[in-house]
Amino acid sequence: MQEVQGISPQMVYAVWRRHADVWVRTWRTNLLPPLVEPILYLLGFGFGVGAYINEMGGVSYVEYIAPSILAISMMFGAFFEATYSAFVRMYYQKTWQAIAATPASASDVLVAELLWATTKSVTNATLMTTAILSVGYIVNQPLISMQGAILMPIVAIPIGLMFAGMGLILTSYTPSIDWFNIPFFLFVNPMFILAGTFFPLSEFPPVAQNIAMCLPLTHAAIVTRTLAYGDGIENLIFSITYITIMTVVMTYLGVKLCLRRIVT
Amino acid sequence: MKNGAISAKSLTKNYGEFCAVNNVSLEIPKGICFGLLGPNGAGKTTMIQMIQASSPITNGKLEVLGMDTISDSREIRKKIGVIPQEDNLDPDFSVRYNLLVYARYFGIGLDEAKEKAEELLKKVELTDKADQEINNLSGGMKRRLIVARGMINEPELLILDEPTTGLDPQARHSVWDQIRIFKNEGKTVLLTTHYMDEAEILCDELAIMDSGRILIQGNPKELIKKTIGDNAAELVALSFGKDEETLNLVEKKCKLMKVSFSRVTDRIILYGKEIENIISEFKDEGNLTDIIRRRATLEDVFLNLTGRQLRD
Repeated sequence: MQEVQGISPQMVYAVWRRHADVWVRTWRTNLLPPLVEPILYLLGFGFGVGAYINEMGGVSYVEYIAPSILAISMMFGAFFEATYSAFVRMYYQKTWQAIAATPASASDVLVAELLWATTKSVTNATLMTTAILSVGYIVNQPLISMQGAILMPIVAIPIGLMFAGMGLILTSYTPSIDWFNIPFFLFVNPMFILAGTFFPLSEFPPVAQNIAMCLPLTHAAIVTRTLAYGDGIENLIFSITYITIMTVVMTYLGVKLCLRRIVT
Repeated sequence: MKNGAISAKSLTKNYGEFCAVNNVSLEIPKGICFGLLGPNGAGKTTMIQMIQASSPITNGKLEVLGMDTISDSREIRKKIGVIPQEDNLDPDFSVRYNLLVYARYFGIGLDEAKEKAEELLKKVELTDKADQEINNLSGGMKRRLIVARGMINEPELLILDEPTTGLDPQARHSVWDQIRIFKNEGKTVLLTTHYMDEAEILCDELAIMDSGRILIQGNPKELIKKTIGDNAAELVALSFGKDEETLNLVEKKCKLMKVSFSRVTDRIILYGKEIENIISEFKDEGNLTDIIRRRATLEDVFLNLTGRQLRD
């Protein structure tokens, strides 16, 4: 049983390359969202709505939401890939099944899914950071610190893995592709609004603040915000610990539960 | 059995409470084409998934090409080629790129993979389509590509799960040709099929399964001879509603003379040496629409063994 489920780095890479090859084949459409989306948010909310807001959390509104949309895109990048896209590969295209007939194992396939979802997080973070820097350059107002900009793709790795693991847990369970709408509407979308992303958590009553502090996106946003402002990372110990523990637990559970679904 | 391609001893597979394969022992020597037949739900696909070392066995022992399916699963998959029942080609890639990506899972370098891909595309006559998208291929072309893909690693054992289901006769023969060419190289083929003519034509040996067990095993021609004899005859009464009486009479006579037979809606099929005796008795019976003498086939063996009840 052990060997049936073992992990081989070469095989994981081969499966990851397959996903990357698909991405490269359609690169034009893939580049569009992470480049256009932040520009829309910065223009519409940052400069548009922001014109009526003097400051938020001690900075201008456009500076407040720039790190938020980075955290959000890291989340969506990984989460979408590990749910809808992974399910399409598992259920509709039977890609996993095709690979299971080669020396690659089911565990290799799942670990590659995690890494590929994380890769999406990292590319999203990189492209968006570039877009935000460019907008900042054009309006002559640095929206994120240079040091923060360099670190964004790096913190996207644990953040992406955490959300990828959560996605795989859902994929191990989902009876159909439509079912993903439920966790998306009840969990991901509320988090998108309420995780200290568009207004500070301090606006909330204490109970709601405590609930928000349990949400993964809250901590992802705390990390990207601290980096974007160029603040010391000594304030991040709690969030980094949270993300580390969640990453380990979620990826482990995601792989285990998916194995139970596909290795029968 | 050292030289065997597949060796199963008391092999069992349970899915929860359900027993899909029940205490099966099977030896398949190298260099032959072996067929696994059986109605839906007989356990064929489960057998195949265990043999390709992607589904763990519950009990017993299973060796493929001399290796254990549990401890050497990767090594086994390196040396086998699998042609699955369903189309699982990569729709995001071209015909050629499907082969190149698949080669990567076997650790085949790009240059070598390109060479092999050209060679295989030529073999299955898809060279012209090399740069086409998968969605532009017909069902037969997809199947040929899957066959080519299953051979990218030069396997010693080729496993085909219902390889010709839904194909037109041309595509079917093309797949048969590939199987024959492969076998002629001294390699082993394991296939499942619902087409008895296919099994009779291709297989040196076969096993008929039902409810997770092997009912019978052997060379197709010998199996036919042994179980029902060389010949069969069908006594047909097309308007069977009215002529039921005649068929009842035939049935009675068969029972009396201990002739084996099988009754189907509008006819009675007779087997064995006494066929002519029955026929001579009823040949002038006006209510019989037709009397067809024919060779006994594997389909007769199959239906007699597994019954005519629908399974799905």
